[in-house]
Amino acid sequence: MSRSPEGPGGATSPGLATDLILGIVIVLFSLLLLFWIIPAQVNDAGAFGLPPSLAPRALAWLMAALGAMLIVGNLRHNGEVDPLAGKLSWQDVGHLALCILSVAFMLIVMRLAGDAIGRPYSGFWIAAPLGLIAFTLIHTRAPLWAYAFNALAAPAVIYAGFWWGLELPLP
Amino acid sequence: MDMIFAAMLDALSLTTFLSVVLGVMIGIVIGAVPGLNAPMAIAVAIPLTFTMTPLAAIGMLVGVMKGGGFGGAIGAILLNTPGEPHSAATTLDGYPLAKGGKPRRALQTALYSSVAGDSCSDLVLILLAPTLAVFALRAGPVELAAILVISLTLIASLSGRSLAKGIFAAALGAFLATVGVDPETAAPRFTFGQVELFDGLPLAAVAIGVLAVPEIILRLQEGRRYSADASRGLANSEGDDRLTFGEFLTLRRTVFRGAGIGTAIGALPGLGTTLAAFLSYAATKRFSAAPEKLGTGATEGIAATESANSAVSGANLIPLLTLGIPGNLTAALLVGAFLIHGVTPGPLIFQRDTSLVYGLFAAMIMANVMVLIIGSLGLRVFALIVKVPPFVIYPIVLLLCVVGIYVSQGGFFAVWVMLAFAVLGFFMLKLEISIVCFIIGLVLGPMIELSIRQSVILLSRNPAAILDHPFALILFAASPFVAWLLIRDRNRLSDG
Repeated sequence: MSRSPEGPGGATSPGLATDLILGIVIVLFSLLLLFWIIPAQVNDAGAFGLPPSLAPRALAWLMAALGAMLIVGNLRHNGEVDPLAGKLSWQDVGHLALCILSVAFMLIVMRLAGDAIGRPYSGFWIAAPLGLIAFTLIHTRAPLWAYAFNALAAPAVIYAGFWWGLELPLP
Repeated sequence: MDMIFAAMLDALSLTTFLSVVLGVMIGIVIGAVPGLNAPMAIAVAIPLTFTMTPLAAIGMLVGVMKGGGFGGAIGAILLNTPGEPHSAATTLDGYPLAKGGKPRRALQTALYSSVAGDSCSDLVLILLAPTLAVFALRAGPVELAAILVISLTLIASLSGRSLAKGIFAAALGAFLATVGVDPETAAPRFTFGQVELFDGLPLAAVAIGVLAVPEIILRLQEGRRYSADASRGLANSEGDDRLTFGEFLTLRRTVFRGAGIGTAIGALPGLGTTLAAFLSYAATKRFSAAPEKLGTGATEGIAATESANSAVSGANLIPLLTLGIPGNLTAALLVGAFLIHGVTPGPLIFQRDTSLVYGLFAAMIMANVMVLIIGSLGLRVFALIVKVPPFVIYPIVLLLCVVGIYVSQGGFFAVWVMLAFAVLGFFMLKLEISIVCFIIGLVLGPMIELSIRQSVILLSRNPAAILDHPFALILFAASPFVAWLLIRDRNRLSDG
């Protein structure tokens, strides 16, 4: 994210270039992989040919090198206008969080309701209308018929398609 | 020969036929929605194919790909909002023609040119792929590794502003492809104790997560600024604005030129539909008898771009079927679908799954005919899709993504994976990190790892032994040079 007086995605970006920060994040992520996640999650003991960690390690080193390239490239061009300035703002991050949390909430309700009632599509029928109303609200202040359509007609069509068309159960 | 005929008859079975028809309709509908496009349509349709036979499933996705190609032109022509970058070329003449009272003529030109361009490139694929596969079979793991490296270099160099970010995306994709059981030692890697991860990350969930969901999230955000468009679909047709067969025949040179350009570009990994569309448009302007009319609503301009970008889709399957290398996002998603159905694309497919390959060829031809028929009959209906308000479309597509992944993977785990990758995809979109490279890296990851492992064993851990593989050596040496050349020319073009 860019640093600017208006926040991380402001129109002007006199601070660090976005790609420079991205480069630092990539290098840190690669080091995390190399020195913590790969040793903890890949067991090379007993490997008879090439170790299983060979490819992940090679790719993590490659990513670290590319991150370093991004850092160096952007340090050299310090002072130029950040081409990504304003592309990512706190507002975008907030919107992303809102959408992801809505879907996550819908999934939790779907699972809990599905498990509690124990009949196919019971969780879907409770959670899907709520989810669709939430997505529509996030999108825009739509007319009332749109909420009704999204909450009732759309789940009904999806139910019909999956239950009768594909014969696949939903929670 | 008997097997080829049997495969073609397989493709004509009712199940495959209905799958192709359904695919074409899904492709046109999703492609026509502003903001959605053919690769997204394929990603959303993949979960629907899980219960189908491989031929019906691949046939349906091919139908989506071809239908999506034409569907993209509908939004571009009627609303001036291209769903994909290559459709931007179609807007140059399509939108002025539609605005000038001839929307039906513009759509018909796009439809016929799209089908003609697609059919030409399919014919090239059908004639060339089996022969090229014979040559590809002679390549060993070292040569294959070299081909993969130069293909990924080409794709990374041409995608986005930064080569480093393009290669990073491909490397991240390839890294995530190592999740699961190691192919040689069967040791689990990055499974975090989750049994569901032993088979690797669910490809459909990752593809929909990085590709479709972030795009929908962005569209949901744009919705706050949405205002109803004044478009009236085909309602503003002035008199009889149909395109006759005779009028379309006058465009044959433009269509064949576009098809040739699209086929040549599609056969090379990474170059893509946008380049094909704009190159064909530029070539048409160069050879046109009335170049001044282009850009003002000339059918020639629409024919040039639509024939070229549609021709790319068939030709893209040449490297996919002969080498197993997807040249673009659509092809990468098709590789994913092949793998999900237990088929590994590559030269051996012509020996192991002959009936599937020839069935696929027949399904491609069938899909072209279906696009023509369904597109012609349903032009008025499809034109109305652009008028459906986004507050109805995007929430439903988002729910479809969730439901599709749930049923395809049989549980909530894959849906959570999809959500996690949606976050990654959103940041990748915002930070201009190529999602195309990421998906191609993810799909090619296991193949790259296997060929490099085999190469290391073949070369007996002696790097000098690569001198015994001159073809591979040339390709390895050419990779950085090709990357430098492409980046230099791209920078020069953008400066100019």
